Amino acid sequence: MLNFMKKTTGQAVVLEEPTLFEISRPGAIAVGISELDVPSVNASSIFGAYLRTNPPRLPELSEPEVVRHYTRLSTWNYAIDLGIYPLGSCTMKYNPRLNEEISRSPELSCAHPYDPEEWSQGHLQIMFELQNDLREVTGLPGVSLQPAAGAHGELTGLMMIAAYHRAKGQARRTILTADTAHGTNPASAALAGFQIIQIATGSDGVMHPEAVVAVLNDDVAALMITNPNTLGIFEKHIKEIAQLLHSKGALLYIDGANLNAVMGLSRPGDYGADVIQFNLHKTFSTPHGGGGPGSGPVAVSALLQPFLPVPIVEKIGDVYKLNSNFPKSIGQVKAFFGNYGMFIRAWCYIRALGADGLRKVSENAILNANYIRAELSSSLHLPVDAPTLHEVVFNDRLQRDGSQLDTTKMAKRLIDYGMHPPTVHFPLCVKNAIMIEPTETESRSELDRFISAFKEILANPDVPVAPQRVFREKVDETKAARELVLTYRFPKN
Amino acid sequence: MNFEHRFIPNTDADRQSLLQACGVDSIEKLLVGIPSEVRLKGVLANGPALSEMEIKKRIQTIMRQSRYMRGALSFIGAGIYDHYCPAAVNQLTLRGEFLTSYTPYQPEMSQGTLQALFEFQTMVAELFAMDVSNASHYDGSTSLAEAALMAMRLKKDKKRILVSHGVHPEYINVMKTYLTNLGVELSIVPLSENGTTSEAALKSLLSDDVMGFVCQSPNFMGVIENQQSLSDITKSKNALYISNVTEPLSLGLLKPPGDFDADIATGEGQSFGLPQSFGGPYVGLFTAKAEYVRQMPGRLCGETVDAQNRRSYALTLSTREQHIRREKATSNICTNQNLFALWGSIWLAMTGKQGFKILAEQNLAKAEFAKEVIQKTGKAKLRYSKSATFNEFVIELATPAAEFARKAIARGIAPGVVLERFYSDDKNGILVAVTEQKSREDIESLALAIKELA
Repeated sequence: MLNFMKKTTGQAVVLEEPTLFEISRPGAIAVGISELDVPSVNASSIFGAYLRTNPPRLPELSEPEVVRHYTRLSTWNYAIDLGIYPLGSCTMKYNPRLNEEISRSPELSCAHPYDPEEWSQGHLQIMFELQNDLREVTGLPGVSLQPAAGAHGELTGLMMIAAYHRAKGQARRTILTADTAHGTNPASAALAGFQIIQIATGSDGVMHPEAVVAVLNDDVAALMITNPNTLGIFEKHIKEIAQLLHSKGALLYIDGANLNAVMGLSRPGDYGADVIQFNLHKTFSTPHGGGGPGSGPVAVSALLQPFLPVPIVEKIGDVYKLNSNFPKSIGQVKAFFGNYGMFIRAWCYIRALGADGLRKVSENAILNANYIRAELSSSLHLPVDAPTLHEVVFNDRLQRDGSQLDTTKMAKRLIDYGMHPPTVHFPLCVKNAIMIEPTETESRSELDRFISAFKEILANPDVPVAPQRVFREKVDETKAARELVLTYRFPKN
Repeated sequence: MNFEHRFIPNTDADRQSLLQACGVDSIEKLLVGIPSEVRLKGVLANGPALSEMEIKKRIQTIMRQSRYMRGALSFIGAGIYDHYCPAAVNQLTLRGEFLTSYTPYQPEMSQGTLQALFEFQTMVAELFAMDVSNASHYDGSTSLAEAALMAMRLKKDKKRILVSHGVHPEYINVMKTYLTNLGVELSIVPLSENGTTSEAALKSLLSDDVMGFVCQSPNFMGVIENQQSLSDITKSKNALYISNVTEPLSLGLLKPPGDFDADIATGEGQSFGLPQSFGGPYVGLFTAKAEYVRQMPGRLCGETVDAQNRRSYALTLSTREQHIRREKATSNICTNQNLFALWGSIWLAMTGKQGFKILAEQNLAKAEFAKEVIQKTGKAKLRYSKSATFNEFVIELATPAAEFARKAIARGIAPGVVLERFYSDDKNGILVAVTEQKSREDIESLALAIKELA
């Protein structure tokens, strides 16, 4: 048994907690409501036939009960605050607490998007400065903060690409993607009205110019590629590929999911990228929140700048202004200006690190991932043996022959060590992939915990059932899909 | 002095030992995969690293002009409302187990998030009186745009969609952007004199090639729509009835979309105590009839059991989603808006069945009081005086609204949204929102401003 596990002498008590609806009691309430200081009105005489007759069955609980309910629920979750969360291409890094404090403070959080511009100067300044920060990190001249998440940024980028070609009088219908691409890439392309051609990655883990030439024609609107790709490998032919695309009138879309690897080291704008989406919730440490909110700004080259969503924040003299007057703009992709609360957090993060710190983030992320690679490569197969940056992809080839252990089992068994598993079965170009991204915010001792747990699993391949040391064992996902229960079934009175 | 950075645990000594384990003597040797031709030659220009203290001071300086620091009063709503949020909501959402967890792909490690989502789905479905709700969407505008895409999937042979002029104008903008490349024609159904969607216009625009009609109630002018008639007309041509709600607190008193046989109903959940936060993040609500669940976009959380037959939850129907289906997915969406679905859930759980209705009644009473005192000034009248409204209404001045608003803002009162912002020929209208947070004195000072400045 590993050192960090020794204190665990058995199953810890974890409290069960029914749903809100089962602990609800008529008459209980968790808010105090002020006395009405204006005359009360008769809703039924105002609304007549529009008056609601079937009141929503919201729960009825006191404040202590609500607080206890959610606190108990929270203890069933794993989180980056508890330990390493090495999901490849998800960049689960520490979320600085100052950013929560500032973004939730009333002078920032009480602002209405339609507040007069003179009351909104501070908010617009934050947005303007963040636009500049993102320009600088990518070397691209245009930025819109509006998209709500990474996939939304992808959609926005692709819509701009479509608008660009349309403005040139061309109806290009094809987007090239890589087989290392996230599922959102083809899904976003389809949503923007494109068809997809997938390019196979070479055995050295990168896309080759010849493979692009083979499918490049007048119908290709753009190539969409993650760099470094989801194998953690920098696309070393990217500049040549960009030139090829541009020579045929096509554009280069860089998926910014893995930007955490290259800040201060390499800029997409410098090698010919036309658009990149950011994931502020990955690279710039805004919290994942259990699955959102994200924030997915886009940066673009001069070619695409006229097509950016509106409004854009501008500074005229000393005054910050929202400008919607861009006739070629694709329009709005979201009401208002984007997930402002996330802009504040990202802005604070960039201020805290500064230019030098951003480079250190990438360097340490690369170092930590390479340490895991060095420590595990004697026991796990490395399908592509090329230099990797912030993440490393193994698979289960050495285990599948002769033992019961496979990728899925390794992942589930890590849970019993109190650790979140890496991304598995992705990227699709590697069979049974195990994709590990530790990030720069893990200490050496946390990395060693992970490595030693992984090694112990590999040394003991025959443990039959996992996870066991959890609040719920092997949740039946098939039943969840087959017998859909999506809302609480209230008892019939 | 050369400190390590507070966000990066590795010290110089750690780096040396990690490099050694990697078999190299410098970080540079780990960067050989990046060709030198694409390496950044200089350094970034994002400025110096600041301490917490320095960042706080900068924020304080930058935010001096904000509405909060000015202590100004605002009656601006238009889709985002000033509702009270109990202290416990903010504090519970700061728990690291909620704040710093990932999408609950590993159900064994995410039951807290999953049960909270299941409860969210239940409460949203109850409020809308719809069969199913998803686990939330980016915001109201993108929810509604996704509803249009869902209508395309459900009515594959139809190429037109009708949208009421009473739908939030920014939502219509977003829908238009989404539909640009998809070969669907969007037509606007105008409002009638009384501020409700023109039924005559809907009838004349409706044809067999219309996939659906999108309505909002209360609409952007604050007016409550006659959804029963609109739904009946829509269904007479076998089109989908899509109902949008930007002020869901109204559902404490008003009949919900499900009562009008809505096929899809969407909304903005910011009213569940979410910070106004200058435009986001908010939480998109998305509900539908059960028969359409497989065409719904976004995450769904379902009830199931674990190996010990204990009740458990898991994300479900992921075969609709991009990480499985790629370009054939129902949507490209990769997350929900989880932290703010949680925020809204806690707010709803605290407000509860009684509180939700009482709050709705207070909003109605305060808005009715505001209508009365504003009319008494003799400087403004109600534009749609014959129509019922909830907590928002349009006043009509005798003089240009923008000019009055400028004077009122100088006095520290934002009287509402000047409608010219959205409709260039609407010179004299102001959309005024009055929530439970506005006291009698607040409302009277608005009336006084109108009396003296309009």
